[in-house]
Amino acid sequence: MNLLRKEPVEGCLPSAPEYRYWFSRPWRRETIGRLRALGSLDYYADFPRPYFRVRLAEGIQIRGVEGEACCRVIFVGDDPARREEFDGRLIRCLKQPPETARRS
Amino acid sequence: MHSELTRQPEAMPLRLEAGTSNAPALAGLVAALSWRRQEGAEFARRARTMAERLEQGLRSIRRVRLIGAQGPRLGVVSFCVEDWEPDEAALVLRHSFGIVCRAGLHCAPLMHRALGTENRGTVRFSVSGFTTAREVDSAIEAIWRMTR
Repeated sequence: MNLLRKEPVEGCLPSAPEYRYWFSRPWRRETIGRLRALGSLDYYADFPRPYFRVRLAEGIQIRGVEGEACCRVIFVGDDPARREEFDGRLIRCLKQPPETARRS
Repeated sequence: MHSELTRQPEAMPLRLEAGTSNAPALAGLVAALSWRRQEGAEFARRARTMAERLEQGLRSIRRVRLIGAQGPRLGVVSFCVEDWEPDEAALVLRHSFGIVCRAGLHCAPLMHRALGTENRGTVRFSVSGFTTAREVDSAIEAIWRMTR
């Protein structure tokens, strides 16, 4: 699963910078499970299309839906270096051995 | 007429009638007004019924806070869901449950300031006379499942 591109998401509130990340494949339960390496994973398996949220220690959040090839990343502050550092961690995390998500 | 002019004529309504009339749009407007005259009252009644059903259903969920006064309302119901930011709730409703709604300040920041919801806004469901009871119940169930 490779990161293809990112695009900023415009909201109607002056909030933290938010980006939509596009990947080469849709999120599967197994790939969602890998995100546990980054932070606290909430996985709503009983929704019609399961939803997941990862809260990282530094306040970054990853939000997405199983079956979609994208997710949203909400940052804290607008620091390009921190975003790049996060991207590196995310890419490495997705290449780790699989771990299945458990229902939160 | 007066095609040689480089400015619109001063006389009304000529001033607003340059170019070819949008006949399909005018025909559509006539049809809409005719439909409104025949069906409008019943349509509005159905919308109120659905809004009341939605409001009652949401009110029964402990972790939902309805915004606005209780009583007769149009087909718009705003609310907050405990532990869900409005924009995240809208994301989940749309992509996990297939329910489209609006979240945020709804271009009315001063109203949200008055309601005390100016920081994150609210989730807003809108129903109309076309909305079915089944659709309303699906929306209520989705919120209930999010708060379990």
